[in-house]
Amino acid sequence: MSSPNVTQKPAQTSSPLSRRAFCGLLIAGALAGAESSRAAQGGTSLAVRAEILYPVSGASIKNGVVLIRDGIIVAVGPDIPIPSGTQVVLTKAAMPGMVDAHAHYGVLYETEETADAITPDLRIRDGFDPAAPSLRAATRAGVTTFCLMPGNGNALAGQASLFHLGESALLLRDYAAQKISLTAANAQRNPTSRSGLLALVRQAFDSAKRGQAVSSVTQTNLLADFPTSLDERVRALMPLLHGERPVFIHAPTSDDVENALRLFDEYRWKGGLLHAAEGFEVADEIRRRNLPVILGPLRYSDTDRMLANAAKLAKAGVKLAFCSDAPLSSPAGLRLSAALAVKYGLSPADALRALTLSPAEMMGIGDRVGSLTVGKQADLITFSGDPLDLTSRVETVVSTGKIVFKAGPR
Amino acid sequence: MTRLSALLLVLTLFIGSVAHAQQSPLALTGAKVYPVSGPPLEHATVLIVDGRIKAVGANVTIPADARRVDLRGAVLIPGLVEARSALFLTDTNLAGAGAPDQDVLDAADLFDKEAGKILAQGVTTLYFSPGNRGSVGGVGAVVKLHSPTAGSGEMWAEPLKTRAALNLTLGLSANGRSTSLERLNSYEALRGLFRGAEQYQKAFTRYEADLQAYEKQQKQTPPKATTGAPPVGTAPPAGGPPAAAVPQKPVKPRSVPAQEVLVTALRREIPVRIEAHRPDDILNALRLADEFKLRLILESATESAGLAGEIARHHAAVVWGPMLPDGAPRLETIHATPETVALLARAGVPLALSTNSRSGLASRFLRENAALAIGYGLTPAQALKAITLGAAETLGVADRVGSIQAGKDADIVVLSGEPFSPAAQVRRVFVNGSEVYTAK
Repeated sequence: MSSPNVTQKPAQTSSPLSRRAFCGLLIAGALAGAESSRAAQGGTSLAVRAEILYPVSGASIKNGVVLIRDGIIVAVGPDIPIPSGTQVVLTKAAMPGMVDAHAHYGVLYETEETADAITPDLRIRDGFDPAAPSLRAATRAGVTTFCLMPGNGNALAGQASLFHLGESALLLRDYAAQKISLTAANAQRNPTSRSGLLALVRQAFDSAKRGQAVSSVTQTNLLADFPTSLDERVRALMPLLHGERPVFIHAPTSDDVENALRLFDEYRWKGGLLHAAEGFEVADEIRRRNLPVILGPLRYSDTDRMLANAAKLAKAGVKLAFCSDAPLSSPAGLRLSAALAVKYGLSPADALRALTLSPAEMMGIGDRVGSLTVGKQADLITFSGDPLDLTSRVETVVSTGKIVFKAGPR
Repeated sequence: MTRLSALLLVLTLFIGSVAHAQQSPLALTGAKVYPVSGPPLEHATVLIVDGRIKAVGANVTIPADARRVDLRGAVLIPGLVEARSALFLTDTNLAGAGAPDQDVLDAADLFDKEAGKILAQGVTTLYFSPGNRGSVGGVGAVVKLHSPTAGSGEMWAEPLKTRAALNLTLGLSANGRSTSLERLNSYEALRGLFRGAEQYQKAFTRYEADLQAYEKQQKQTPPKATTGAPPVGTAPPAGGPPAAAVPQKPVKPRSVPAQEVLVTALRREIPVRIEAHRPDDILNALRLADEFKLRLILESATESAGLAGEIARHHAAVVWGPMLPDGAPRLETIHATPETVALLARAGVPLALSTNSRSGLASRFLRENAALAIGYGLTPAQALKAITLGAAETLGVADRVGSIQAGKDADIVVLSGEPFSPAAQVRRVFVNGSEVYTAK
């Protein structure tokens, strides 16, 4: 996936769609981040030595060391000399910081704008509260990157943003993805059916090609002479049609998945499927299109079929990510999702990848985060035992080389 | 099916299972045993006679006619006890817009085959909980799962204790909407309920006293054969006793089923289980229990981190869980901190860990839920107790289940590894000494 707007510095974004000033709160976050990276440039270094190290990009390493300088991983391996004077974290197990592929941190009750079903110009981060308690819970759980997504209540729901999470949330990419929900039909407003929803979504993209915007609140859904605000809608759709931004489609049931696959075929979007709990029924079709799937959160109340979904998709060769849906669920549920999927047949290696590198790749930042690899941002979690053993607890969370959470004594 | 025939069926099944258990003794040998009532035992034998545990230990004499099962390398734990479950209940039946005498068993589909999946994960006893949507849920039951003969159409459950507790709810939001006034109302409604029950109870006490007085008087002054009692309304003869002294036979108050349930709670015969999340609601639950001297079990107690000592002082038990939300959160649960469970344990609060879901299927992850609790600070021993003996004590059935101890029902789970190891699989499950699940 191309990532033209990703640079080496965390707070940068250069998308033409995001030239607006950040909202004030985000500026504060960005400044805090800039400060911490300045501190990092002062030459701070940190080493993590784990009895078992899961780099995710490669095989696990016994007695592995991750050496960090200026927030960046500078060495990973079993025989890494630790320079004297380096702060060392000793631990049982360590893995990369988790990448939460679909979350609503800080936007608990405003996950979409339901006045209109077509809001591709809506930026969910405009309603983001950087002081939300769920962000602290995410840090404690080991989430260091997340994709802030709109909810499932709108057809063309809006723009997702990527954030890096440490002591504060730092915007990584403004327009990271577009969200489509195939379950947003609603008896109270247009569209009222699945087929109506699909027609409306197609209309929105087809009209955008002609420079026309679509709204669900007018009689015709077609606005010939659109006001400026609708102009934004057209502009929001163009990068999707050009394959410059991914589209993630909420498609929980197998018929939703089939509809989503048809849309991907028709419009040649990049992206993937969201919450495809019945994806296993059409796993080969998903694989054939090389589409990744974001799953979760898996719950105790899920049926056996749903819990075996991840293993079946992985077996078919589909790339997977787990998401928390937080704060609609707990960010700690990411690890529970992975553990439940393993109980139902997913390999532990695939499970760890689905928490880290795979979602990073889906979001186009696999070159920066998601694995313990030299040159990547130093985001990692240390555990009292195996990460997929639910009795293990998160002991330390490191974000950009800085310890941002440390568990208290037992 | 009428309630009577259902009960008869339950009774038949129960007798049937007891009869079935009366076979040759069974000796489970060589396993590591977690009795929970005591420290773990290596290479121990569990001797089962007539569906009950006869002996546990390293030096148990095995009768010659005993059937031996070699379980070397395996780990035995008691059948798991789920302190709150929605198994056998449809979502509609969970509504619980109830009266105190609303019995959860009346809404149950005890033929639900999902029970088999839960049994296969080692959960053998569960509290079958009324809903929490209204402030009064009704009475719950403790049931034991067993495995009916395939295709027999038999039920999956056998009631161990009916009308086991009264379920109430304090300050729960409906669909994310909540006001402090509603909280106040729901607390006052519950107080009113128990005050009414006290009056009801007093009416009966008064009746009993009046009846005794009446009967005593009748004995002391046997009716004269000739005159009998003076006709009503006639003036007493001059110099005779006043009319008021002529005792009227007291009228027995009408029995009200809902009040009868509340009275059993007032008499502390059954506990009151109150679901409460916020600190103010938890404190209100403690106050309610104080005022009416109720045996209190707090359900959820989400924000009890600062109240652990207070809860312990009130001798209230807590049914805690799930460790992580198993559905969209309500206003009351968004501040949940899983570490709280360890604070409760440290304060000495009697603890049961539950998956506490609106879905019956969730109970199959009781062991995983307890594993999570260890990740948040419980010791493995505390976690195991909270899904076995601790839960059984909370449910009032610890005389029958919850530990591997002589005299208890032989409900035993055979694991391939340590109780909370992710690799440990359930190999076999025994209920009343009968093998009800065997891993393929």
